[in-house]
Amino acid sequence: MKRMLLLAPALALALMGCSSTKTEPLPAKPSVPVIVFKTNPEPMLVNQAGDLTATVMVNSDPVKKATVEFEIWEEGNNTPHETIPAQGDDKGHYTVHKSFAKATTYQVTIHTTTEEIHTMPTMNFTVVEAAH
Amino acid sequence: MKQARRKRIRLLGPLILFLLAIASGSWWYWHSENQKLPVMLPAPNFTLQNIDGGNTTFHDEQGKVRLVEFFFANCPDICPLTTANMAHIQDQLKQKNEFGKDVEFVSISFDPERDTNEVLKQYADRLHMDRSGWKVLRGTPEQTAQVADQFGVYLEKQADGTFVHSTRSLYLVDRNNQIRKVYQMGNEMPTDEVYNDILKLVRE
Repeated sequence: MKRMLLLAPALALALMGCSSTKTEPLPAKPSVPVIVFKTNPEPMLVNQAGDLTATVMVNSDPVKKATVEFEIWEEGNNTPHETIPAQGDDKGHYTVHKSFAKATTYQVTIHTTTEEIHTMPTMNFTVVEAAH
Repeated sequence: MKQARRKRIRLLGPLILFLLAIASGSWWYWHSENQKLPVMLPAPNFTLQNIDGGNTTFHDEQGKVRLVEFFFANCPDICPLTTANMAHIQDQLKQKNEFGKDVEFVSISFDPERDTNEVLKQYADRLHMDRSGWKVLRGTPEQTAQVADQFGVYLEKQADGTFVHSTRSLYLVDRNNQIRKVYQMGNEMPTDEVYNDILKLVRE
């Protein structure tokens, strides 16, 4: 019984000790990802589906859990912009599989949100007539 | 012998139960929603221009719980998503009659060159920001960059005018100008958690 008497306060103290107030620091300086954009084929061919791929890396390590969307429009044209979510893999590749009906230069803004950073670089790619 | 044992149990049993009750009560208190949010850092003081006229000095708003957002109006995704979530919280707080009285929202543009008063007013109207309890602030590029830096927001302006910026740049500040929590913006913003945390600080 005496042992039990000693155990009860110890239990109380242990439970209270486990629950001390946490402190959290402000977020540290985030790691800025490097984004490399490529098409496959290069250049893309009219009316033939190909891959638009953004590779997202931080310090040479692939970023696997980013949210990436491609906003695409014809360069210099006031045409509506099309925004398509990209599918990611475990190598930091984010891809949209798509065909284009017009041979011209397109612009793509790669909206990228990682756990720490939001960035939206804009790049160009070309679509050409297939050689006969 | 048996009688003595029974007597001991009668005496010590309630004591043990009492101690266990204290222990479990403490555990419940510290692990429940009543637990206080930790203090992170004192919020920096600053003075910026309010798009509705005059200047706002942050520490003068002491006494209100504040939700501080860093954004730019040309941001097409993460910023308007965050502001829309804040507008949803604003409506919930209005139903409780807390918005503007005990709670204030502060949105600070870090793109003052493009975010003129007019641009910001249009942004605020589009996203249903009720400016009676929601201050929209801008300053010179140097001023806003300094304020963002003091809060720990990472900003890097790009040649095309867009920004690389932190996604954790939504700050909950208590009535005493202490930063209590930082949240993810955009799709990952924990809107219900933000609302509940605001109410926690209001009740403190």
